[in-house]
Amino acid sequence: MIKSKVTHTDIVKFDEQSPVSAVFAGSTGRVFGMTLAMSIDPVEALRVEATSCRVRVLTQRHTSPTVLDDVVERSDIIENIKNINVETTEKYNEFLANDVLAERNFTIASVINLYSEDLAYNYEMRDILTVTRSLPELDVATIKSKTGKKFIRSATQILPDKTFTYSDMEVFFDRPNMPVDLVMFRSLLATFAKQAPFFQKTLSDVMHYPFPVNDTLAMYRDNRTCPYAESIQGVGLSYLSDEDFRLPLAVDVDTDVDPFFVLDSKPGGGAGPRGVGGAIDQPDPQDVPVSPFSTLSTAYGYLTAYNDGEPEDIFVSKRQLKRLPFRQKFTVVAKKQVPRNVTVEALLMNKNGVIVSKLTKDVNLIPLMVDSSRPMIPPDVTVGMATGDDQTDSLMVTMVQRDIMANKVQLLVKESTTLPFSDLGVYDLVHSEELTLKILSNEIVELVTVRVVALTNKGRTSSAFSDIVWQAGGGTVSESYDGVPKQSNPQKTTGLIAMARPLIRDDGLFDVTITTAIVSDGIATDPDASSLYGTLFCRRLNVYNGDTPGGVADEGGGTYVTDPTNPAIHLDTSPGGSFVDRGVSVGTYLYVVDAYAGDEAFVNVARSGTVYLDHLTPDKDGFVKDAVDVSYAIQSVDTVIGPKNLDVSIMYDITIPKGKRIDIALLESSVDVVLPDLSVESISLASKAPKLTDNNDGTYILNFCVAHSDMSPAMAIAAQKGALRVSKSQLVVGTFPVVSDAAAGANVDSPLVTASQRKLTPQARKRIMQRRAQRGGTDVEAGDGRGRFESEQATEAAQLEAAAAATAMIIRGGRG
Amino acid sequence: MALVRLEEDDEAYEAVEIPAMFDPDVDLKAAYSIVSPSLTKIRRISIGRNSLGEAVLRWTLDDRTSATETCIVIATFNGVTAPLGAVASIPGVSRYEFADRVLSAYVGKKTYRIAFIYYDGTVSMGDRQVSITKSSSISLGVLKWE
Repeated sequence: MIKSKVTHTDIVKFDEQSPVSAVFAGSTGRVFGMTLAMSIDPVEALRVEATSCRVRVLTQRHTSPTVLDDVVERSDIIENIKNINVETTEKYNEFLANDVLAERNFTIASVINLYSEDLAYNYEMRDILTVTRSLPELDVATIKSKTGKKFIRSATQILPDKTFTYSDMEVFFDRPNMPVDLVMFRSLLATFAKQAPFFQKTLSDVMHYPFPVNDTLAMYRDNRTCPYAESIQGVGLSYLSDEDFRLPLAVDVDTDVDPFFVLDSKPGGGAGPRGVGGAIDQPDPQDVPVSPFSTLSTAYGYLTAYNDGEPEDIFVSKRQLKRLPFRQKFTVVAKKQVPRNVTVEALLMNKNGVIVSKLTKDVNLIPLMVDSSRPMIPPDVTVGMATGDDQTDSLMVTMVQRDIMANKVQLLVKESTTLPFSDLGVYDLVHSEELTLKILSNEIVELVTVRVVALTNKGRTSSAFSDIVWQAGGGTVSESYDGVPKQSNPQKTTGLIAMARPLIRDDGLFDVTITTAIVSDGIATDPDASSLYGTLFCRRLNVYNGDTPGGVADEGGGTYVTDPTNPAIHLDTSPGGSFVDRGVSVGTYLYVVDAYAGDEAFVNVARSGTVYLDHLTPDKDGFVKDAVDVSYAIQSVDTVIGPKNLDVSIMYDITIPKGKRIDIALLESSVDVVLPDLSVESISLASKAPKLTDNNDGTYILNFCVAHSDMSPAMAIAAQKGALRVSKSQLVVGTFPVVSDAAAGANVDSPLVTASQRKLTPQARKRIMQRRAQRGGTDVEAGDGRGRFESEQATEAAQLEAAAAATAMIIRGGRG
Repeated sequence: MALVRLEEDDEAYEAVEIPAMFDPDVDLKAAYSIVSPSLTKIRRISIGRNSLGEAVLRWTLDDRTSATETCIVIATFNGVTAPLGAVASIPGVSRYEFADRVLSAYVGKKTYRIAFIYYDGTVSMGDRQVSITKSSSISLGVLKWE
């Protein structure tokens, strides 16, 4: 029997704009993700009775073997024909084994089902008439020249308006005298650039504002493109604070004039021309209230304009599709290095497996990799000052790589608002890895701007960078600078921190004290900032009930902390005060503080860390009793400035019941340390080697030393000043089978012998991560490259945690 | 002023001398007070679209004094003009690129300008701008024309 087939090349097509995108992941260069954007003509597919599609990524195209070569005589032909099946099968198997990097099979109906279940059903039923008549309709946005006269008549034009997807941005464009064209207030921006570092801001931070996009237009976003738009705008938001979304009204300045009005005003106070069309009188900075410089929104306002007078011709009309776009995502793990060029093949087949349509495309991967490897998430940077044993100050810069694609950071430091950055070099740093550098200066440093840029290649730059300002004295302005007068009327701070401290009661319920504290947030310029808020209320959120901090009390926003004698009364306090939530049952909670400033309510102005109420919660004496009646408490915390390292010694009392002899392993042990501003940092003890001392009174003391290198800069500074406070300790203990002291190799009153005292150095961690990365790829999910790489990193993190758990220390104790 | 960087090591801190950019005996503030950054000029600027559908701006700066500290990308779209992002200027790097990961997905014309922030806080606006237009929210090739 001879099969005949007709192949159509236009039933499946690649997308015209972005047919293929790809991204590498992993250090081996053997793993990459690929997204293919295609469309299918369902009517034509049905006409040729196509039922399924096979998409492949190949290193080279398949060629059929020559079967009639080396023919000398008639018997050779016969022999060759006999071998056709064998040779073809062998060649095809070799092709599958060596050249097919990835393959995906799917039915045509499954693609159609993405648009319409009915259409998919009719396709399965081969009802070509119904399929032709019921092709899906969509609302499509097009510019005027691509809309067509027929459609324009029924189309809706999208006009500019100030309803934005990020509604916080609306205030900036709804102010009076908004310029229609951008006018650079250079002198004001320059003044801001010089002053902003004194408020821990930089002019470059304007990049973190989300771009205001018309809400209606956003509905017609092309979802094929810009897959990272949401995440990049979200990341930017995390660099902004509440005051960055408020118009810089002159609080405490003897005027109610909007500074933007001042900007567009003539020095005498009269309103100036609006936008272009007339000379803009740039006001003297002295005429502008100084307080606006304390918020980034000032600078943002100088770089914005709004013009609804010449709208874009964008129309939305209902259009019928003749082809159905779809995407296929692949994860490719090659046996060897992925080649520069691959071939993508889409085969449309009927129910008998006969190819009815074939589409191939040769793809050069290199430019695709470049497109997707641009860093987009800035590194996390913390800066602090530490004093060495020779009493010299040094700047501690800790950088954490947050971009998955970046593998380097470039560090630049600027020691004045009018000097250039000094380049301190490029350092290898992969995703999630942390690097701390100590920078010495032979001058007294008072104000430093640290810039860290995420890079993929040395000698290039990127838009993923962080500018962090550190100022001696905690960011307060105490003197005039560069002729700019001292800020005499500081705004009140909106900075508020909340901390929760639970205690277990005798009846098994819990009392939780929520303490608030006022902190300088960059607005306030006095060392002792006063709060903007007058009255505070507190809500308890049950995390596992799905309560959200922004929700309404009793409607998904938790419940108010109330007076135990009268539950109808919501407890309140003033900034700096405390709430006590009494009689709380076991659970996981979050405390959120709402505030009133005059009549205006502010929701979720501060929140505690997650509060776990269980048997590990300490009692009023600070003792925790675990399930095997082992109780422990922190006895003291001492800071010792060593010759090279700053150590923190944390002493525990451990009481083991008399008459019992048990072994204890410290697992996931940690101590929460409260810094002077009430922020909490956690020190893990799981990898620390404690020293055990028997007090001969039924208690033991565990002495941990936390090296300087293990502490954050802020914690190191606080420890040095003796300002640390331990809020909570968690020693998760477990019992082990009793073994003899000799076998365990541990003795009371001697340095504790640990199951493994190996501490994971940064180098070791890096090696582990590199090994994980080399092994990575098999656990990759189909999807875009960034998500896949995150999966790798998550696996690595889990393995690191497992490695840390392996260092769990066996304490042998108890009294016989 | 010479900066000394100490790198974290397994065992101890190892001091690494960073070459001083300037003579430590010179009063830098005084030295810089007489140097005013010249306005950076854009030598070339272009725009294209990459495989992810993002508009990519590429520009080359004529900035021999390395006075530019940050390039702020300012976009105009659907009536709104606002900062869209920024690229860090690094000494010795003259070629820059910025991928618009936000606006490229929206239909309509986007115009991009570059503003420069100099090390002394002064600011200027680049004298050139580029535009790119996305014509439809879905590929026109899949639509039925009646």
